[in-house]
Amino acid sequence: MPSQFFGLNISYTGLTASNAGLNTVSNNIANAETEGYSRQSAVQEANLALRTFTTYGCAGAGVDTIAIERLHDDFYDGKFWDNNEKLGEENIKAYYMKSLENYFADDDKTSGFNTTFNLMFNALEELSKDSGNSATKSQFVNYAKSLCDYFNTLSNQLTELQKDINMEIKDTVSEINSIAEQIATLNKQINVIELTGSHANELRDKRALLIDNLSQYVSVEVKETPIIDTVNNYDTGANRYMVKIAGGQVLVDTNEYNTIECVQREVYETVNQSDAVGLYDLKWDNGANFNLYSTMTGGKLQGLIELRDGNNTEFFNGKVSKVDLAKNEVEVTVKYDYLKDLDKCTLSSTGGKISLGTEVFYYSSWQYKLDDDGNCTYTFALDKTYGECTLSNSRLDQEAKVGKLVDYQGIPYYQEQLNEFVRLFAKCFNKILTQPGAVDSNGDPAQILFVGNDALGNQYDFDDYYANGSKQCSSVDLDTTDDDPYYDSYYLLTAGNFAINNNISLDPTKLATRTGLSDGSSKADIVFELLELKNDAEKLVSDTGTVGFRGGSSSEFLQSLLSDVALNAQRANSGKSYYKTMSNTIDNQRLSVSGVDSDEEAISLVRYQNSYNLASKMIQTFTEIYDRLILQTGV
Amino acid sequence: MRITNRIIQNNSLTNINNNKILQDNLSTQIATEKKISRPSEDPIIALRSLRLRTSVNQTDQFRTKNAEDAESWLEVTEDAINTLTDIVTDVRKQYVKGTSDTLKASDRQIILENLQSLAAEVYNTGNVDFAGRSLFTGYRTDTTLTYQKNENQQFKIWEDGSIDTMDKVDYTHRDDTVEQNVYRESVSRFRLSYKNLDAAKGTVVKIEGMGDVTPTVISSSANPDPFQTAIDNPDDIIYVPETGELLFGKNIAESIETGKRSFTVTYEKNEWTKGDLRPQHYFKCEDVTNYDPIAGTGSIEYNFTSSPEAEICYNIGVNQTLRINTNASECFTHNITRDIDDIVRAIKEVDSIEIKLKELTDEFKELPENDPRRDALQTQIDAVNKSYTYMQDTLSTMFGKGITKADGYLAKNSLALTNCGTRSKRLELIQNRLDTQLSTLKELKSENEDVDMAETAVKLSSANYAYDAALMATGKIMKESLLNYL
Repeated sequence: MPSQFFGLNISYTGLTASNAGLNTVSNNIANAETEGYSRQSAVQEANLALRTFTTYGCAGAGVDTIAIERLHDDFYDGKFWDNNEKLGEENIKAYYMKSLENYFADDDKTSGFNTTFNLMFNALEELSKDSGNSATKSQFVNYAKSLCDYFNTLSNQLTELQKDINMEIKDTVSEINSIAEQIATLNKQINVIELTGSHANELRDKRALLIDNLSQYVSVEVKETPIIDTVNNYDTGANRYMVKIAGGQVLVDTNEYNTIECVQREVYETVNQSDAVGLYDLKWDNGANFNLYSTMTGGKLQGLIELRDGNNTEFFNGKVSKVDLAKNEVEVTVKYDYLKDLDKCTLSSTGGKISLGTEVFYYSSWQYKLDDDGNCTYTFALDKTYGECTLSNSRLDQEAKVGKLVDYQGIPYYQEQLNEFVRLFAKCFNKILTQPGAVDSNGDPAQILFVGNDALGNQYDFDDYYANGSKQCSSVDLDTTDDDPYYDSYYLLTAGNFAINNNISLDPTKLATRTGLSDGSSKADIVFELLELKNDAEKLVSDTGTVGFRGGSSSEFLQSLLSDVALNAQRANSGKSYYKTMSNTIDNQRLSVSGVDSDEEAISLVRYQNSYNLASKMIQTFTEIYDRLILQTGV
Repeated sequence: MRITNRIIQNNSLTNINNNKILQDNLSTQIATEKKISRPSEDPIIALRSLRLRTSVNQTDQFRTKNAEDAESWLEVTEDAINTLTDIVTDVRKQYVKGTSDTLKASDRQIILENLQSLAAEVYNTGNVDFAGRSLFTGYRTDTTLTYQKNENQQFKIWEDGSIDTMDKVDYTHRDDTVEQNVYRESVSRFRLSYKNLDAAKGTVVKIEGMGDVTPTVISSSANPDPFQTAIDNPDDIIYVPETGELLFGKNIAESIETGKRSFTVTYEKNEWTKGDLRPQHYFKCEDVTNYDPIAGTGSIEYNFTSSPEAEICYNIGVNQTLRINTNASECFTHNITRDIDDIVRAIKEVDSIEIKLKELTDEFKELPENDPRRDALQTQIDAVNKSYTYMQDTLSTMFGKGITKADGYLAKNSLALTNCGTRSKRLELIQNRLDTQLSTLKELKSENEDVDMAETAVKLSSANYAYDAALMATGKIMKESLLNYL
């Protein structure tokens, strides 16, 4: 027989349960618009029945709220993160491709390559009609200067963009580091709470939100495993929470976290010839290398790295064919056509790293050689000052690599394209200009028009270039017997230092327009030949004999490049909108489980209010019953 | 699926945003009149647009700049040749007058003056320029056709000749005392293009198959005169620097004629008078004014044989050029004035002998009937009269030949003019074609990148309608919830 007051207690449990329910509803409504909040629900259970030792057996003992649970589906989190990572990558690519599109634009509003190039060739047309006129020459030279300015500006813009991207890599890395720290802290707090058996709902929401954030920067993999006390075979309630990023590299392991450091490259570590100075390499704080070029990196970080370092898979690689221990040199034989053509060379002129097999060396300079059979070698002079590896004969036949394969058309790719075009065009133009017998208005031998400025403001004059047939060149001037202090190879000409010969710029009459000293100033045979350079791809021949720039004539240069830019931008834009839609869909699926719905909460409100009201009605009823029993019964 | 308020909000927002993007696109298209504002929106349109823009630019250069310039050049050239034709026609008129039988001394004087003034004018028309560039001087547009003032410039000139460019001149051997001694003989002559040559430097004639022959230099004022010397020395060549003539002895002339030999004459000239044609436009020559014989430098060679045709061409289409210039050698030949020189000389000779004859006749008239000197004077008069008749006849023949030659020059002029006209005609056709091409290209460009306004406006208003509808629906659905009814 249960206590006379048993009913009152049952009513009381009803009252508290309704209260808990109401509080949960109130919490849900309050957090309806909170980012990352998962709706909660009070889990109620009937109390264990009391054995009453009566004929009816057990009597129900009321209700108990055993937990306030978070309604959340981890499966959708994983899907969201995977998608968010791709969205982050496409987003950043779309953003930067927009800048590139602007740089390469040429339309009614912006005068780009085509406008500048056409103006120059129109001036050349004028020159063909009046080749003896110094005003016409001066006009042409000025337009040629505009072309140089165009390439200088474009190259600078690309370098600046590369710097911006580099800075954003640093920001992204600090963002990742900060998230790692927060996650580790949360892990600790969650475990402290959950060791006591309760649910750390809000903290878990917060952590999931952090991973949401992290997933746009880099690919994320999360693993949560319960910590089992193996001795007593008992679930402690705590969890081991591992966050791996960029293809399995551990960022957070429960309370511990790693940070990534940005290390600036020194001048002697330059990867590509036209790279900005001080690009970052990434390292873990524990000393391990962060693999920058893994295709698993994912997210904004991958997008940034591909934009910054993308070389369209064309990087320097070959086989060590000779080791010279005395000179500390290695000879590398290359087989790809893009390495045999020095116009396409992207090797640094200020020294860089070269990996021979598994060991990494530093080189200070290199020499290029192409023999008549088409065998091409690069001889690297290694620098003992840097690095820890010592050259030995074991390096023979090892694979030599400078830089890494990055399968994207990033800044280095466009810089390479600009350099290649500038070198090819300048070379062919100068060659026609200085053909045998060419003389200027003053009867002096012709000079080249397009040159490169070196860092000291001197101009490369490429004078030995035609003499030695360009089959053997060096990244530095080794010819000490030469009176001329400058370099000879067109490799040294880049879009950034592309310029007009000072002599001609100061005195345009030095521009040659004809062959034949006394044949008369209006003879313009050279000018007519130069004009053909515009539309005739056959006139644009590289040292290795390939015709045209990417098979086209020089006026089609922008078409080739703009098609790259436009297609990449288009791909990024459509990728971005696709993943954006996907993101919405997945987010909606998540919300479908964990989102707060006001109608639902209104109904819960009514439900709990009713049960509260009923429970208090019960208490009132019991009060009346006790009143009857104690005060009015049998007294 | 459980739909929460947030899902509805998200979806509505996405949809409304999509509508907005569409509207933004369409309104940008209308504002810019272009189908795309960034290449990535449609790479194909963007690349085609680049290509078309380049083509339009290039065609425009051909049409509005090159073709127009060529047209002006041709017009100026035609005008100059027409002026030359007028002058040569005037010269011919004088020659016609000269053939008249009743030519009096005063008539000859008028003809002489007319011819001299025409000779001064004839090459001046060749100095016309187009925007400061000399028209008839081949590639050497910075050099005028003739000397603009008297100048000293030592030129060594190589001039080619053959039997076809040689002529025969009638020489009257004068003997003013014995009539029987007066006779007329024709002398083979090669008239060089210039007179007043540098006598000191001499001349060399390189005859095909005969080697170098060094002519004897005889001044025109020498006695016996050069013609007489040429007649007296049949194996020699006589060089007359003042008149710029080479007189061939009978035998040497014969061997050139029978052997059909060509020859090259090398001579030098230092004193140039205003109006002389500059030799570099016509001959292989060398300016040795500043020649340093020790160093072997300082001379300027004008190698005419390497570029006999200095063609100035303008690009007026892709791989299409038009020659625009006419070279001086096509119409301004030295012979026009050299003919006049000959005639002037002959007139002067006739004049002088006429005066002589008049003096003698006057003297004869003053003598009394029975003066013993009369017979001797009569013999003298007869002798001079014979020479006078010969010379007058020679002059008359010369005028006759002059007409034929002038006709030749006119024919040459009209050929040059026809060439010019043919080029103008061709240019006109090309200009028409370029016009068509240009408008086609512009049309293609517009079709490629410009929006169809009407179509876009319709699209925009339908997008606007969709946007309004989306707003209305969202507004309705978001306002209400169960809580409103509790």
